[in-house]
Amino acid sequence: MNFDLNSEQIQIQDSFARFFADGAKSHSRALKNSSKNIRELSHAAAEMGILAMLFSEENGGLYSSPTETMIAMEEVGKSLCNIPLAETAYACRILDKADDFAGKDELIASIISGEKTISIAFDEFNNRSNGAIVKTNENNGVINGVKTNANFENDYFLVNAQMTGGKIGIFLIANDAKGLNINKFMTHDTSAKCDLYFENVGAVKICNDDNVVEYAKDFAIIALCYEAIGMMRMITNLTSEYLKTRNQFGVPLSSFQVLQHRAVDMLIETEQALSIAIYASLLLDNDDIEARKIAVSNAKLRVNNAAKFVSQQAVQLHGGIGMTDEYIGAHYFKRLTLFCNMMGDNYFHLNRLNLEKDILEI
Amino acid sequence: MELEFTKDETAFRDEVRNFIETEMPKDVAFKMAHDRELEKEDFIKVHRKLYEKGWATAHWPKEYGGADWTPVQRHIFGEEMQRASLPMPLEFNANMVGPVIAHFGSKEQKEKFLQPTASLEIWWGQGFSEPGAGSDLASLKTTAVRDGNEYIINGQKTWTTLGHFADWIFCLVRTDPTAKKQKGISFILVDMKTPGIEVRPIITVEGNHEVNEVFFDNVRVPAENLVGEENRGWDYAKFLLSNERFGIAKIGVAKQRMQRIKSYAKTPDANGEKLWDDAVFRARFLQTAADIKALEITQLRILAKQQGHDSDAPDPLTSMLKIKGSELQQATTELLLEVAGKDSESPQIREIYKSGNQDFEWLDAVASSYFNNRKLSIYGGSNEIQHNILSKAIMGF
Ligand SMILES: Cc1cc2nc3c(=O)[nH]c(=O)nc-3n(C[C@H](O)[C@H](O)[C@H](O)COP(=O)(O)OP(=O)(O)OC[C@H]3O[C@@H](n4cnc5c(N)ncnc54)[C@H](O)[C@@H]3O)c2cc1C
Repeated sequence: MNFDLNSEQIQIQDSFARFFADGAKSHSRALKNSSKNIRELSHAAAEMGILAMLFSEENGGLYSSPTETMIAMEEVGKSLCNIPLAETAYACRILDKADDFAGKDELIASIISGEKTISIAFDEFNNRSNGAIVKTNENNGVINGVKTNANFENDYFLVNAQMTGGKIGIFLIANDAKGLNINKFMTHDTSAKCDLYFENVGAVKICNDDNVVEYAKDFAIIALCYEAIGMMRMITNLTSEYLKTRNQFGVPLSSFQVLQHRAVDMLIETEQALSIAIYASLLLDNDDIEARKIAVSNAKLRVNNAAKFVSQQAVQLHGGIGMTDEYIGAHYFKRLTLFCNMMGDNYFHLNRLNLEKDILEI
Repeated sequence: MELEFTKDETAFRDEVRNFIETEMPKDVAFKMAHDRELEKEDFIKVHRKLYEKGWATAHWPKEYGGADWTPVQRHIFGEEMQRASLPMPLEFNANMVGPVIAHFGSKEQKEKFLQPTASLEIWWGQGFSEPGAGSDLASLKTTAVRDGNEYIINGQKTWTTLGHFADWIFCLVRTDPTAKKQKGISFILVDMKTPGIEVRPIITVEGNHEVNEVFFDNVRVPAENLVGEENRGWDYAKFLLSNERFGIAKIGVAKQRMQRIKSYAKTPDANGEKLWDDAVFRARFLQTAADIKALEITQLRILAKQQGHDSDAPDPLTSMLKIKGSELQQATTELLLEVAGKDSESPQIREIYKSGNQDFEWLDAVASSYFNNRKLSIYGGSNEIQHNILSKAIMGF
């Protein structure tokens, strides 16, 4: 048993930490316009090899395990960098295992180099957090329907749609496709997102293997969990520092036992979240699909609950300061709140667990 | 033991309900019921109507425009207002500075301030907290130095709620720097138009302008604006806070939100499924509802105890109402956010809300409301401070 990173991974971690903490400062979600120049940021991330890590060698990439991506995600979280990397990973892991189609190699090469960007457009309106609802449809290579909450500023989207006969297929669509209308909006955590309206949009089917899509989704969920863990780590530290420096009643807040214990609970929640995320990440490439799904849903549930507790307490223990836009922790709080509803909320994952067999064999 | 309201109390409730139904602005209720921010005019519209009816300050002494309501009547009024998604009379006026002036103010202060305070012609701000004095309010540093017929005020107040609307501000200031903490503090009324005052906005987490910093640079205030005796301000502040005990739990707001949560959860999603049918959601909803009911009865028990004993001494049990009340408010905003799911990611009203034949114009403010309501466990004496009060007063620790 060994939970340590190997020396190569430690190196990657150092360079990612520097890249996100220093290099991507102007992209912090604490800044209103942090979604500006997101293409430059994606390009720089690609140059760091972050996109190559998502594609296997046979597709010209450097994929060896999920761990390298998870290392990057934790640094994204710590720095609060406004980069939708989990969604990108979702799309890339599908693309990596997709069927052959004309231009596939060139497309992947342009993504790895950062020349082109890709994301997913899977969510639909009024399905809460249940990604399983797909009303968008495909007929003879033509897509109709509406997708919501996709990340804006991508050259390509992977769109899921119901094909004739009811099976779900994954389609590749360029952002300037004819018949595609994009409504842009800004989220609470300053992501630039959009709703996509498809009116007879021609598209190429690249995959209809549910297992591939489920795998990629599980990969992205754990990536997102790691981002949350980085955020929780950061605000737990911020909070304990604040308690040491803020005085009330002539003493530092850290001298009040109830606050010490609360800060320790934040730490415990973060460590528990990390443990379950590590566990799930090690099962992502496992052949036992059932075990993987259970681990991933366990992880999202556990990390969701930790995210809620840690972010609420970070605000609480800062007092009034915690409520301000100027306090950086407030922006972590907002992102962590939205995180709980991304890629499946508690209800979604509890239901998914209920559907799996042998769930009680803990 | 008797759970029912008396006949008179029931008649009073019906009167309040009827008044709200016929007289209260529906647009304000719509905004409140959708967790949207209210404008200055919205507060004024509601407050003025209540003032004309004699209900804005019904708990004040009768000679100053009060109506001699019993604690139970006050409770009923609050419940009905909250049930109808309406803002209570401006609390800085009605529950804070008004009663202080009525009890401790000079004759001139009463004549000058009470009527326009009751009618909200004067909008008051509360200038207690400072950057260095939050939970430890008595460590406040803003000074007022006597100079002839005036006090000269220097220092800074912060977190002043709606201070950008305020015409006047009531402040705690240090008048005796040599005295022990609580002893050297005075309670003074300051016109916001006085030279030397600067108000700067603080933007809160959800992006709204609700609180402010207020700076005082050699602000000259007539000495007659000091309330009561010099250096007795802490006593007046304690009196003021004891007045806050009514409706602090805002149970009516939680109940109203639960109604909305239920109706949204019963609305089918794109696949025809309802969150209401999810056993886990239903359990969470019902547990929260049980907790709210328990708190409602706790509040009534405290009220019943007060009914008849007209005492100004703050009941330490009200700390319990503050703790549980804020927690339950927060729990309801959390449930609402869960019902909304990822469609509430943005504060913008999106084109997509118009899809289908359902009303989705409630999704934009759900997350903002969750963010903003974190303040409930921080202000008005944080929940940790309320625990300290109960530890001392009830447990004897
Ligand atoms: C939205 C909002 C509106 C407000 N409006 C007004 C207003 O209109 N007028 C006004 O005067 N003030 C107002 N306040 C200020 C409010 O009363 C203070 O924020 C509050 O008293 C807490 O003080 P603080 O922010 O300095 O936090 P701190 O006192 O620094 O507290 C930080 C944390 O430490 C905890 N803590 C502190 N002391 C202890 C202790 N002894 N034991 C255990 N835990 C402790 C607190 O509970 C909190 O979690 C407002 C605040 C907010 C957030």
